[in-house]
Amino acid sequence: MEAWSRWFRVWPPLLRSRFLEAWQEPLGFWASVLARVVNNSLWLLVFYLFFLRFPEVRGFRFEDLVLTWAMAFGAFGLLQTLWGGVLGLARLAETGELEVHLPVPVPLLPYLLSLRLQPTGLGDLLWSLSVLALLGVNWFYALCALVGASLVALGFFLALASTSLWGLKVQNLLPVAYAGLVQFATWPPSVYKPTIKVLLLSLIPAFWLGPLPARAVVEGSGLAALWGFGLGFLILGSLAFWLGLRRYIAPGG
Amino acid sequence: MALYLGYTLIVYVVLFSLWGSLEAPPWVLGYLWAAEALYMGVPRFWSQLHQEARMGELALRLALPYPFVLLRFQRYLATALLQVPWVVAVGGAVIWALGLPASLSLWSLPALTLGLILNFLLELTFALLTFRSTSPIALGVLLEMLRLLGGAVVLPLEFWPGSGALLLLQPLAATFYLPARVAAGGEPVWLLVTLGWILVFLGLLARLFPRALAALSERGEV
Repeated sequence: MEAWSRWFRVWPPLLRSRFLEAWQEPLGFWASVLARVVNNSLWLLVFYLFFLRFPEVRGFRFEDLVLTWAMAFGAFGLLQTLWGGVLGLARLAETGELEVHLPVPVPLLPYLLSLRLQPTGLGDLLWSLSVLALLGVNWFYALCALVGASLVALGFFLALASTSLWGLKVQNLLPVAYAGLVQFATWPPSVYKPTIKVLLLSLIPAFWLGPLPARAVVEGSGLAALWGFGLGFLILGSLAFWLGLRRYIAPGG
Repeated sequence: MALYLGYTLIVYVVLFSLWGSLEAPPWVLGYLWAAEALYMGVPRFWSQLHQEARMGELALRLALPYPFVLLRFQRYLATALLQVPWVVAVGGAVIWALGLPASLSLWSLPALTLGLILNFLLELTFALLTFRSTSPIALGVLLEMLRLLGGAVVLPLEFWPGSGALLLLQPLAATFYLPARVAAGGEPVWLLVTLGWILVFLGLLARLFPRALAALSERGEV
């Protein structure tokens, strides 16, 4: 319990130091943020042109797509800003660097998750919040859905990265999984065949990151299910981490 | 390679699911198949060149008794010839699995080859022009976006306002759009545009290359 209260005291300065680390080169920082903003906006432009020609894709319209993108990139941005360390966890385990962090006097998992802040993630988050402001959504629903969706993403990547503690080499798989999840989470969900839809609602939880949070914001319902699924994935990921850590042997040690 | 093909599989599933659910002209699926094969299959090497310059390896390569550009092209082509057929195969497998009608013409081979060559020249030009960059990640994101947009990789120019006539005037369209359009049954004569751009970039590189080397030499990197 004491370790947790210490953690809550340490977390804000830790986040601040990660931010300052990223800020070391302000030009590079802003370039990374701006690159994401431009990238996401240009993609929306492509889709705008697409929807000019095909106004509705099986009931899915451009407005739905904009909200889906805002939710998905908001969730990914939140993940990379607050818990970006999850994407480096497999590298720590596979190189043995994890051992250096084991004796920290705060709870290990949240500490490891806070080890990295990606400016590109901050760019995604800022872009998402700007789009949500432009859309004039209900902020309570939107923020609840964003946090719920980022919990899903965190749980998924934690579970995946934790397999490296079990001896699997997943370090190179993580960027591909990230990019794949982004693809599936941001394109119209109504076009997939039923088997793919089932997959995207379960093992590869892409629909929980974009389309379902977007629907929750519009309808104001489904937030409990989103949070429930997110917490479930997070528990699964945490279990994989702790059980893996028990049997973890660092390379060469 | 398995991871790379896994990502390619995801991209094809997403693209073909979307376009397969629409009432689009029959050539569109073939076009996306070829355009993605080219886009996903071409090696990216501009950031590698930057790194080589920083580490001093570029100086060593330039000192070899072979033309540097040809040597780099050989490496590029070897990787591309390995990757592009795999990507085409993955695309074909997805088309088959989703039960979609799509085909590629016999002109695919020369069309994709010309696209590969022009992409090499574009990539090299980009590398030479951006040696001074301080934010390579941001540049990389933007370059990929330019490739996707300017190359009309996910949205063929026919679906752009005014049929994308303005976009046709720039080299990325000649790198991705025109070869893919020919591969999907377009007029083979369109490849002359790609050929024209290849000549333009060869001329440009002949002027740019010595200047870039001089700039690097001033910084003591070659």
